Amino acid sequence: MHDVLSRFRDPILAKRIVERIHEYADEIDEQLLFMHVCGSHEWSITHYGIRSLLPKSVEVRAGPGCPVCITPAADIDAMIDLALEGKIILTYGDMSRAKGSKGLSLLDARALGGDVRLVYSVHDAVLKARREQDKEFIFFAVGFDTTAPPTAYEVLKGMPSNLSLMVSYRYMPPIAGAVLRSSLLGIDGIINPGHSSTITGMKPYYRYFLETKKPQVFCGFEPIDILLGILMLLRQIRDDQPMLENEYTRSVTWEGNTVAQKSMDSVFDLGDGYLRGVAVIPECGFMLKDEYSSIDARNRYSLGRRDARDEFVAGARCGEVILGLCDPPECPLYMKECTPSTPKGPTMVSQEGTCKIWAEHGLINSICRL
Amino acid sequence: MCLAFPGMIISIDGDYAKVDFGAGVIRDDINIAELASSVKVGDYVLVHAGYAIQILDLEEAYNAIRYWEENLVWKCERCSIAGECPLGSIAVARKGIRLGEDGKSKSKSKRDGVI
Repeated sequence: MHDVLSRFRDPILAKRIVERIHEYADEIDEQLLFMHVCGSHEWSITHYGIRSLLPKSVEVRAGPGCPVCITPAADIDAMIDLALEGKIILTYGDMSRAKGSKGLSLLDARALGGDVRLVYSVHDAVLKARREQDKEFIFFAVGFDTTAPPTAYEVLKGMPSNLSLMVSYRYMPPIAGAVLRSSLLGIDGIINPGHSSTITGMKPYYRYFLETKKPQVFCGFEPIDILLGILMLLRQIRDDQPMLENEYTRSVTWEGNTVAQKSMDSVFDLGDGYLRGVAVIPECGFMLKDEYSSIDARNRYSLGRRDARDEFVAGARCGEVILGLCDPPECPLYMKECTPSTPKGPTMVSQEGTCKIWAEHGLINSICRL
Repeated sequence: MCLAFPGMIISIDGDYAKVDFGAGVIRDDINIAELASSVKVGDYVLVHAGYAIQILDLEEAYNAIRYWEENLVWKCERCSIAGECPLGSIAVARKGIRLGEDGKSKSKSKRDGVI
């Protein structure tokens, strides 16, 4: 790693930041709840044991930030149906293990004879479709703002006619806005996504700041990035000066990646987006523009609008975990019926799912809860 | 889906670049089309699933980390030797030299605390 980047793991600086965090928390002298909305933030926070370094009065929870987890069951069901009808489904590994509303995943569909193939990116999907021109391929396009631009690029470049896209991308800022507004969650500050915001820029978040006046910090993924982000939130609260602040200055800017935004604007429109187990959030669902309806799987296979209702396995609290209302250990199935090798819900299949992250290395998180 | 890794561009060929991620990991199929056209060899970029999403501003990174080091490590109110030599206080801390109650180094050697 470049010299300066490795300084974001310096233990001396980290220790001093932690000391300062404790000082500010003592001065504020209140219970504080911060939330982030990014599975990768939860991964970093858990992996680096950040929660064990924080004072008891400062809580950091994982909000809806896992793209696989919030993909509607109806979309998964549609893909399974198409797989069983002989179409070739191209999907990410973790997405293939998420179960739809009938307890079946795409991997299960493969076991039942469906042709489901794993890809690492949309480029993979394009290459596979080009190699077998006589077959029909559908790429399950799930993700947030970080993942959508490459797809926009491939669409603009020109996709093979035997490939269509099942677009289920979500636009992050309105999701952060909903989290900020929610009186049910009642957060005191938000850690905004780092890489999604690299694409979108800080700009789209400003309106939510004007509306809610709650502290917002855009944060990176190294341990010092996260500690600094928390320190900045505390400083804003201590000084009673909430603002839209950027910790991740080496990547996130006010304008964002305008090249990527331009590609996205040419290819996608924004409409209602359903977050599985959470809610329909306006203006957060990407969909292909009308001029690309020929490569839109929803159009090509007349998928229609499916019911936004969702079912998780009986007794599971996936929805509450996704929203950040409860921790994984509070779900009765966690690490009993539902484990990384026998997942029952989407939060246990994805690398960005809170339950999987806690199951695999969440010991510190669990200790901090006791 | 935020996992992205920093790497240095070694060579560019149209929309694609060869990127060195360190520790012997080099990939020559990284798509750089979604970056500003000013991207050049030697730039550090953030790569997500084979596509570069941003050119990392390392000068900004240096400024940011330097600001925090200055305010939290060098000018720390509890460390009385910080006032003498900012670089020296980091060197002392990194050598793990213990400080006594009066903030002075417990080591007898004159060379300690000097870079």
